[in-house]
Amino acid sequence: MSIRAMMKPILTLVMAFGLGAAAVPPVSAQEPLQLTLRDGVIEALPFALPTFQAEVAGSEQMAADISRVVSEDLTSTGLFRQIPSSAFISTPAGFGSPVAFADWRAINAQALVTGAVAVNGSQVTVKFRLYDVFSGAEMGEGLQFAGTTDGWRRMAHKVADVVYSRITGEAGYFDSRVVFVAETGPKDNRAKRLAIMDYDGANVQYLTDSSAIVLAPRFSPTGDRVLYTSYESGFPRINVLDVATVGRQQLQTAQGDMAFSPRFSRDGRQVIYSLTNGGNTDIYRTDLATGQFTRLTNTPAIETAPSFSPDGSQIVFESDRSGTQQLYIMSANGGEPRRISFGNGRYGTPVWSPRGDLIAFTKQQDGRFHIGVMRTDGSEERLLTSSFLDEGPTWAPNGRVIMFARETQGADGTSALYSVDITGRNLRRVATPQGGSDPSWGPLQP
Amino acid sequence: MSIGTYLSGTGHAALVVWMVVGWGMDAEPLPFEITEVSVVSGEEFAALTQGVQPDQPVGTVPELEQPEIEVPEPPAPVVETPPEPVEPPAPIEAPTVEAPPEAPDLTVPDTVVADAPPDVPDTPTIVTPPPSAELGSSLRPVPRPAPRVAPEIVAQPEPDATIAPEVTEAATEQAETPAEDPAEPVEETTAPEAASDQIVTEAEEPAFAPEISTRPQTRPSRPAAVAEAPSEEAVDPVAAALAEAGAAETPTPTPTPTPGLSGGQLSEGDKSGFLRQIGNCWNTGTLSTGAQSTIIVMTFDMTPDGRPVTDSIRLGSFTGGTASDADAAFQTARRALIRCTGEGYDLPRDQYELWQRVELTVDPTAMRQR
Repeated sequence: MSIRAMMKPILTLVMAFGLGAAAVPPVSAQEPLQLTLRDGVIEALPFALPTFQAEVAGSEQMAADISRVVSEDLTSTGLFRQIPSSAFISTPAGFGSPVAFADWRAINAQALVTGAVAVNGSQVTVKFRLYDVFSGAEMGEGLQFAGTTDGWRRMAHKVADVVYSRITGEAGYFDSRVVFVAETGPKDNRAKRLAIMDYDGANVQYLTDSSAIVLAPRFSPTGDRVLYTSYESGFPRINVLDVATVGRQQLQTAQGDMAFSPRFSRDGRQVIYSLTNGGNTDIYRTDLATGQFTRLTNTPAIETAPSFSPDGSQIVFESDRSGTQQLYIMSANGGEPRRISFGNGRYGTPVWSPRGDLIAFTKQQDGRFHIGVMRTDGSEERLLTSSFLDEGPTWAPNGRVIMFARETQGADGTSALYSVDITGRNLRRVATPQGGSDPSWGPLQP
Repeated sequence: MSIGTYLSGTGHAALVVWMVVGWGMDAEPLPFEITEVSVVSGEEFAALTQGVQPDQPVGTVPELEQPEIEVPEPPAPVVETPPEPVEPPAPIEAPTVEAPPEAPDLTVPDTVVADAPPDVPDTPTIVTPPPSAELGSSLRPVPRPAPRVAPEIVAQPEPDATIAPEVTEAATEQAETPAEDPAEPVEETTAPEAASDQIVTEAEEPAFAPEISTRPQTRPSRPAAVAEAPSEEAVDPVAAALAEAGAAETPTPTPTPTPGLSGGQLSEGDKSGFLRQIGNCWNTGTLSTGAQSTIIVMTFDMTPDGRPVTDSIRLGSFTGGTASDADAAFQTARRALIRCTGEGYDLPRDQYELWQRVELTVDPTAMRQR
C-alpha cells in the first residue's frame, strides 16, 4: 500500500471531523428563562367608551342612545366594568383622531371603544374601533353598520357583540331574541300569552292572545318558528307558529291524550316531544316534512323534556324510571339510555348547551329549586342559583349565559325572568313589562 | 122423632116469634140535633170569599178534644253530620281576552356589516402622544424620603436558658470539620438599619387585604404512598449492611425544583416574584370557555431595565384548544405582561443575561371557573 493510499482514509476522517465541527452550532449565549404562569386574577375588565360622535347634525340623540346600549350590553355580562366619563382625562377629538393612550392608561382603561353615528333620514350608520390601551394598538379593524333608525338597537347590539368577541375570544349573544310566556294577573287566574323580546327585555311584542293557556315555547334553530304547547282544545297540543306572520298550525303528532314539551332538532327538520297515551308518557319524534313519527322510549315510567345534543346524535331527557326524577341520555334514534345524574334531589328540564360541553337542568332538593349545569357524563355538577322556584333554563347562543324563570312565594307571587353566567356569577333580572316564564333563547341574528 | 127434638123445635120457634113481635121493648126513636142551614148563591159566596166575613153560625160548635195518643219513643237515630253546605263556586271570570295581536314588525333591519374599515378615515394613524408632564408626575409620585426612626442598636438580651457545658463540649467533639478561622467581620460604615422606610399614621394605614383575590390553589396531589418498612424479622442483615454501604455512597439528592420555577439560574425568589407581578395583571375572567382550557407558550425579550420588548412578544405553541382560543389566551397574557411592567419588573439587574429572554408557559386551567 502506498503512502498516498494510506493517507486517503486519514484525510477523509479529518474532513469528516471538520465538516462535523462546522455543523455544530456555536454555543448559545443563554437559554431562555423558563417559567410557568398559573395564578392570575378574575375581575371585570375596565373599559372606556366615550359617547359616540355625531357626524351629522341631528344625530346626537341617536349617538347617545347607541353608546348607552353598547355599554349596557358589555357591563351586563359581568366581565366588563365601564369607567365613568367623569374620570376621562381626554376624549378623542374625532373618530379618526389619534388616541392618547397614556391618558387612558392613566385611568386604568384596558380597552377603549370609539365610534361615530350618522343619521340621514331613516338611515343610520354606525362605525367604531376597539383599542387595546396598554398595547397601544387597535384590536381588529374598524367596522361599520348601516340600517334603519328603527333598528338602531340591533346595530348597538352588533357593535357590542364584536367588542365582546374580540376581547373574550368567543361569540357574543347581544343581537338575539327570546320568546317567552308573558304573564299577567294573580296566580289562580293568570293570563298567559306568547311574547318575543330582545335578549335584554326590550321590544316586547306579543304573538298570541290570552284566550288559551300557552306553555313552553321553543325557538327553531333559525329563529323563524316557535313550537309551543297550547290548551286551545282543552287538552295540551303542540302548535307551530311562524314568527313573521304569527300564523300557527297544530303539529301532527302520534295518537295520544296529551302532547307537550316539544323541541326542535338542530337542523329544524324534526321535533321531539312527550306524548301521554293511556296514562303513560313517552318520547316521540316527528319528521316535519313527512309527518312520520317514531316512538323513542317505551317504558311505564314518565319520560319527558327531551333536548337534542348540538350534533343531533343524542337526546337528554328526564325520567322517573329509577323511582326518582333523574336525567338520562340516549341515542337520537332511541335505545337504552344511560343515567347521568346521581345526586340527591330530583332533576328535570335538561337542556344541552350549544357548545355541547354542558347540560343545564332544574334541580329540586330540600324544598328549594336550583338551576345547575353538569358535564355530559354527569360530572362537575354545579348549582348556579337557589330560590323558592327556579325552573326552565335556556342557553344563550354562545353557551356562556343561562336564562330561566323565578317565581316568588305566596298567593301574590310573581314570575320573572333572570339570567346568570355559567360560573354562577352575575345573576340579573331581565326587565320585562310584565311577568314572564318559560324563556327560550333564540339564535344570534344574521 | 124423639121428645127432645120436639122441645128444641118449639123453643126455637118461640124465640123467633118473640124477636119479631118485640114484646117488652121500647119503640121510642133516639134523640138527634137539627141544624138550620141557608142556601147562598154563587155571587154571594164569591163576595164572602173576597174578604167579607161570613155571619157567625147561630150555634156554637163545641171544640173537639184531640185524643192523646201515646206513642212510644222511637230509638234515637244515629244522625250523621251533614256535610258542610258547599257554597256554589263563584263564577270564574274568564281572563280578559286581549285582542289578538297583529303580526309584529319583526323584520330584520338592513344591517350591513362591512369588513373593510370605515371609510372616513380608512385607517387612522395611531400616534401615541407623549404623556403630559402633569400626568406623569401625578401618576407616579416620588415618595418622600422616609425619616429614619431607627433606634440605636440594642444589646442582645441575656438568654433565658443557659446551655450546659457538657452539651456544648459534646457538640464540639462531634464536629468533624474543623471550624475555619472565623473571618473578622468587616465593619462597614453604614447607617443603622431603619425600622421603617416611612412613617405611616393610623389614618394612612394601608389596608393589607388584597384588593384582588386570587383563585385558591388546586388541591395538592396526594403524596406517593410510602412503602411500609419491613419488619425487623424480615430484614436480612447482609442486605441491610449492603444497603447501608450503598447509602453512604449515594450522593445527596438534589431538591426537586418547584413546578413552574425551573430553568435558568435565577433564584427561586426572583422567579416567583416575577411570576407574581405578571399574575397580578393576568385577568382570566374575560377568557372564553375554550381559552380557559388552552395552555400557551409565549416568548419575549426583556430590556436591561426589566421591561418586556413589546414587539418581541410572540405565541410559540399551544395545547388544549383551537387557534382562536390560543390567540385569545395569548392576547390576555400579552396585555398582562405589558400592563404590569410599571418601572420595570423586579429582577436582579446584575443577572440580566439570565432573564434577557423568557419563555413563559401560561396555564389557565388552574384558573378555570368551576
